[in-house]
Amino acid sequence: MSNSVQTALQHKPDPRRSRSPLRNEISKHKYLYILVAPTILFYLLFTYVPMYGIVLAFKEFDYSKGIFGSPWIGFGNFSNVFANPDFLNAFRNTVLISFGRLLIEFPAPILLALLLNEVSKGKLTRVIQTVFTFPHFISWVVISGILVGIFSSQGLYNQLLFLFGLEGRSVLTDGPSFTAVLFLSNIWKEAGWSAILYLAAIAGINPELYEAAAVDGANRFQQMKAITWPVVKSTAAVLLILAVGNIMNGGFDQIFNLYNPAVYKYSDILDTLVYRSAFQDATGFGFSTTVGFLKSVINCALLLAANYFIKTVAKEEGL
Amino acid sequence: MRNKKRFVTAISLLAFATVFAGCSSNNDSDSSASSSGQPASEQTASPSASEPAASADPLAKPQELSVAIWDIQDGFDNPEAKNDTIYNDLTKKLNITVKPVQITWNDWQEKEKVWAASAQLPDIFANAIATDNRSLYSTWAKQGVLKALPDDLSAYPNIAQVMELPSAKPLTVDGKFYMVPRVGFLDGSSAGVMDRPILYRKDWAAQAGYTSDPNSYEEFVAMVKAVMAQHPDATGIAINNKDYLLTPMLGSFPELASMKDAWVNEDGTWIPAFASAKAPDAVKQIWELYHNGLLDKDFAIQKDADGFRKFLNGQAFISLGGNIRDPNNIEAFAKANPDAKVSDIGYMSIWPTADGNRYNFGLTPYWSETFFSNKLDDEKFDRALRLVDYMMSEEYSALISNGIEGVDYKLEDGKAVSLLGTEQTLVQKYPITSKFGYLASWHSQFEAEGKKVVNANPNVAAIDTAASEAFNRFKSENKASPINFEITLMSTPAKDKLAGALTPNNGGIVDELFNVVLSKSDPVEAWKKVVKSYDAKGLQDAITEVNAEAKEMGIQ
Repeated sequence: MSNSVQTALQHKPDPRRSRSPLRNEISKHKYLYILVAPTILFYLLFTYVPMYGIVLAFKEFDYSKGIFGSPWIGFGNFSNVFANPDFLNAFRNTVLISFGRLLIEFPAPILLALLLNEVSKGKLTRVIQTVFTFPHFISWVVISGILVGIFSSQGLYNQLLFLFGLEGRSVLTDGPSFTAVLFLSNIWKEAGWSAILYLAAIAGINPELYEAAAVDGANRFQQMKAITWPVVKSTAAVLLILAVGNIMNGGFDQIFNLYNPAVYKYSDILDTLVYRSAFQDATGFGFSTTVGFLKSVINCALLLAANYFIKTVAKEEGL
Repeated sequence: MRNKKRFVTAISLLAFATVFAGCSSNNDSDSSASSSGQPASEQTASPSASEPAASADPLAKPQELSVAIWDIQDGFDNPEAKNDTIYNDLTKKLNITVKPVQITWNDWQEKEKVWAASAQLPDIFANAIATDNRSLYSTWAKQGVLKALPDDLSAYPNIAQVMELPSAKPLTVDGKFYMVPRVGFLDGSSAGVMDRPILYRKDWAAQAGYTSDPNSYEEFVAMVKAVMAQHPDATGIAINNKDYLLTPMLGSFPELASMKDAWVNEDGTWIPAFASAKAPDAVKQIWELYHNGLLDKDFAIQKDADGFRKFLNGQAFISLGGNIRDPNNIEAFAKANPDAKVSDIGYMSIWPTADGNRYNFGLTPYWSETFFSNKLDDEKFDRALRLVDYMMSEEYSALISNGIEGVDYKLEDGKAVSLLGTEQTLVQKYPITSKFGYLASWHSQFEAEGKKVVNANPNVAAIDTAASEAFNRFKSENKASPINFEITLMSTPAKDKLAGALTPNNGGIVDELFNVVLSKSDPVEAWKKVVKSYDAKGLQDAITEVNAEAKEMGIQ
């Protein structure tokens, strides 16, 4: 082989080396990517493509021209939103209810998982777990009917009060009591379901660690603190980031089915406002899209902030 | 290894195919849509474009019309649907086929708004935007969602008659109508007479010593208290749904019973009724009913019809509203109250106001309208109008109310007498008609004129008789609430914007009333605060615009 040919061969670029790392990665695991492709396609079609509708926040929707043909109006919808007293009220309620959920509801499944882990293994654990998980599958329409039944003037709650000689209370028309019902009913419905993730994390702990701790004289609480909690903590950190990123979603299904005129002041959240403005008021699609857009932007910012905090300050694994 | 790769590839392709198959149906229907923008289903039913457009017989060409009316699909899905002779005769008479498009009482507004945004509205549909959401009505009219009625309505005499009603005339957009009101009565003075029924237990009232309608609010309160003393476990006054809470206002400030819409003239200025100086005292009366324990304690947390069900179950003395005419409800009452007769249910007349008159509810003699999609071509539109016009006729009202003469009823001395068995109903026999038949009218006038068949079921017949007697009494003895339709139905930008804040079922002015009634604080001051809060929602701008427009129109 002549020198020139040798040189040419030496300098011929290796097609595999010239590929980007991403292409290499895809090429290497192409069958896995093919398998995951339908899911990616699903998200593209039903989550990302519909996002084009967000332009309505900057347009005045015209039924004859559709989303793309409707005229641009700059920040007109934003002015309307900020000038609307219902928006300010709904924004305040959303933030208050969501922070309340973080403080009161978020720890509930963690506690439940830790407690369930302490129940001696066997049928009892499975029965308890099933009992706690079951409410997740009941819709809010049904639960709201049950709650109205319980808290009505002749319902179980007031019958109990009467039994003890106390005066009846209208829990669902009193703002603070209604908010408490929101938190408690959501814990009842969702804590068991949410605890599954924590229980899965706990299940990965080597039982020998508990045995060793027991030999060292650690009691149940010390075992929980030293072995279980560090594992649960990482899962909790990720779920906390997601919960913070979801903070502007106050829980539409629950509130929409439960609220009544007496507590709108306390329970009208951005989601119920969006629904109302899109389908009932004359405010229309531009207004509701703008509220939805603002909600998403705030959620995204909060998610990034929480992720940053968890990774840098709390030194936990983030997203 | 090779086989494994092939297997994985095959599975992946299958998954892809599944996703694409799921997405393809819409594309198919889109691609086959006609150039005129009609859905594919309409294309197949419509004759080809090469056929002659006009014919001497306007009904010669078959037409398919898609129709959205509450629960229409349920009627078509009924096993007896194909034997619905009234519907079959109707379609033959007008040479049409009807494509049902389902809406329910829970989703109709949402569905139709989405269909309008995506150009998928059915050809004919019922909605309630001309009065309830004037801004949206104008928008849909101006932006080509709705088809305008022709200027010459002589071919559709019933529609023409309704469009002449004072309560319909102001509902033009740029000089054209884009809807036909779904009236119960062609005679405007009869409408509203039975729109806010006060159902009560006559037997309970008699036991408490009351055998006639109350002559004042105080007497009404005393009556309810006396009955509740004898039935301590029962609710005094239950309400069928939110708007019925306003019923007692007919006895204090009748216009306020339509507080979402009504405008009144006060000291020479037109203002919304809820902002009137008379409103706080009217609100106070309802507040008192609640805080004196007469009004259902759960009225604010109940779903629609929960209060009426209490009445049916013998757990309430009065129900403000409720469909007692429904045979199922009548039977429910009979079953739940074995010691009572159905004839113990009475219609109470509202007590007189300060001027000595009793007032019937009065707003527009309709609360919803029939609309036509702008995608209809002229021929199809003509058929749709003929259909609606026929369904408003007395001939069709007779079919809906009595069935087919000689089959379901016979005429004896001018009276319609049922030929059905006591267990047989027209609803069972004509399932499509029982839903579709109310597309254009509620057919109330036919009944009010005493032409409805005497029902074979004695309980239903008893309620029919009580309702008919009450209608005649209230119509002759009471006055209609003094509503100025030109003002109340006027459209100006600020007024339409204010209406958007007043009318929503959630968060509107009626909810403000709920709040005030539930609150322990002084209702007069609380209502004044509510009125003040509407300044931020355009109340003052609306008053200014309406009065300027009224001045221009010469309305005093």
